[in-house]
Amino acid sequence: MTPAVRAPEVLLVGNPNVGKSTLFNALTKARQRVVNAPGTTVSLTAGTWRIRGDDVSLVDLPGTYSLAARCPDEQVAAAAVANSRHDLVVMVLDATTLSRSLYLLGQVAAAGVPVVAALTMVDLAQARGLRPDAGVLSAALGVPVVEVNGRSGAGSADLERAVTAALRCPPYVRGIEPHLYASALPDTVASAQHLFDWVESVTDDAVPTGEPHLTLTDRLDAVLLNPWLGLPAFLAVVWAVFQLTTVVAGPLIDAAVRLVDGPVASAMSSALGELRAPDWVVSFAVDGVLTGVGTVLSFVPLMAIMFTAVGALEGSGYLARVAVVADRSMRALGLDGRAMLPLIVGFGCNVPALSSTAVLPHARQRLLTGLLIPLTSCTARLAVYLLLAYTFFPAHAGTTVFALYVVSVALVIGWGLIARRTVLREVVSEPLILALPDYQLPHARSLSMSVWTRITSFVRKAGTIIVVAVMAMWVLQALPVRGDYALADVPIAESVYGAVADAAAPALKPMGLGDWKIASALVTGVAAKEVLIAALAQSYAIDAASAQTQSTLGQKLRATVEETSGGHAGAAALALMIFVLSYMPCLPTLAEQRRLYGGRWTALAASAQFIGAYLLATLVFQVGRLL
Amino acid sequence: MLLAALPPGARGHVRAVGGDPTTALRLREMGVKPGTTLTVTARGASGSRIVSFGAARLAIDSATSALIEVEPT
Repeated sequence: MTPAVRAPEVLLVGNPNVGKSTLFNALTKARQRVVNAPGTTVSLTAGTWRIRGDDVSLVDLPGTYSLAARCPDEQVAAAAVANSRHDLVVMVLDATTLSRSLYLLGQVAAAGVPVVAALTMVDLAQARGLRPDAGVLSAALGVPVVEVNGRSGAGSADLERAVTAALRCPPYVRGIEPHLYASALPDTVASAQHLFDWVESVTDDAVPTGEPHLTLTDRLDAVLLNPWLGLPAFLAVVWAVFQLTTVVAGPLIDAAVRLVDGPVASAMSSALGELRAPDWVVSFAVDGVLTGVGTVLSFVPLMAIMFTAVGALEGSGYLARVAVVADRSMRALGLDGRAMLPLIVGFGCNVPALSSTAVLPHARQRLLTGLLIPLTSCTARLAVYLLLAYTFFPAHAGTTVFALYVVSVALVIGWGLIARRTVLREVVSEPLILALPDYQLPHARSLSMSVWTRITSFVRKAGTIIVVAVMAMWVLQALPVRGDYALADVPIAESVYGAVADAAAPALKPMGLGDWKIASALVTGVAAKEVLIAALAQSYAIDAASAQTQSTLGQKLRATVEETSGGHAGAAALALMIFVLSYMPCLPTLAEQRRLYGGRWTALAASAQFIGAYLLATLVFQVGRLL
Repeated sequence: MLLAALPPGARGHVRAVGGDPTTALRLREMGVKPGTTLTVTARGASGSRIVSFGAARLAIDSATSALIEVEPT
């Protein structure tokens, strides 16, 4: 028996924003997948690069300036370079900032791995009048240097040839001793001096000296980074993204829901009817499985729009400017200015906001931002506030809702500060020393490929959890605990679900809300905040059968809360709104958090948030009823 | 003179880079070292400086740009 021949593994290494991912997309086409680096929340993209019929496994490592492993992304890159599983590193060198690229190359070479260099951004360097000479560079480095353009695909064939040859006969960088930093990479300027000297000796020959020409980027930066114009420009961009996630995505989501609820649901029912399936099977298939699938599908347009929007902002080079513009305001939380974007998007919908944290440069910052996003009050929660505000504070509804948004921002700041002092102490604000890439038109093909990869990853990983959870909810609502009801034909009050809500209701007493209908609606609200009101209406509809009067949901709710709060309905309603604001992220948010940060962080954050919301709502009611 | 005091449009040679070892190394990695000629292309929010040297552009916040000593040219 012959052992299976392993496909050679090649690592793609380079600084951030050097066209690495564009090159990766150009080389692997659609044959790629998102994987988590072992034991971390850092996700990598791995793909298959087909070179003349032979498969090469290509891994796109996080962009980094150094392998000194100061943050998880660098650790992932450093660990990947250091392990001996790979056969070759393709080092992406940015022609506009060659010395930065060479510093990283020097560290890769010191690890003793063979290298082929791909020179990108040659056109941009040329526009500035500072085009490096690839031939001279190759002679100085002692490894092949191939000019490539991931956007046009130019140079791919040359790179393939160089890589094929290098896999047969590995080239090593000249002038850097392998295993130079066997114990530790240099962490001061003095200890890295040898590396800097080597970089200079290479660039002296390969890069022309002289004054850079001013380009369009400089003129745009004068406006977009201007202290007075930069912020309005950023807010305009945020507003546009917000509009995309609400106005444009809205009809698409409705269409997806209508398709699933309408034609697909009736086709499924009638098909199962033909097969003479029992009623509960039909109900399970339609209300359980299909509802879950519909929930996942309804998020797909939103995610696609969001991934495209932030991908385009990142690819255009604008996102790096956001980091500068919003730097001061996010620094208190130890976050990069770029974290402002996901947090603002969270006020539209938390799920795409989580996805948009992918653009943050450090894993710890992505984690902290991602754990704070559920505290931004999404539009689904707004519907609940509006109902409650108009019911309980008709004269001050607007002010009440506004106050909730203020509370939401305060919760983000408060929890952010708490997290930084407890579980995320390693998130420290770093000085802003940020490379500003040239503005470019986002590359459509590369963008659509990465959007597709991320969407399929969401559907596969988060989607499965959502469908299973919705099915579990159906089971709880279908199982009768009392009375003589058939499976899947039971009023909520008599189901396992109702019994659970009934048992949970006393826990809501300290906030003046000890009622099973409210408890039940809150549990349902975890599936999605927008169904909270529908769940409430459903519970009351059952009550209404026995009630004498036909009053609106608001009036009924008011009557309930008057009773549970002992006459302090206003305080209890405020407590309910505060509780709804932050008691639990919705199911899709939890599923996406789990996909991105793992189950432990998700559970920790959700529990902390729940306890915080419980205490805060209780405080609001207890103080409020004294006033 | 400090980079923090250099107005937009002005150029300067870097003479010395201060600060803690990590910040100094990060600046060095990004290409800021004694001898580099920087051009301040813009002033960003909160007093940060946008500098260009070679074909590279860098944003440096106000506190960090006060660690970089330059000689105006």
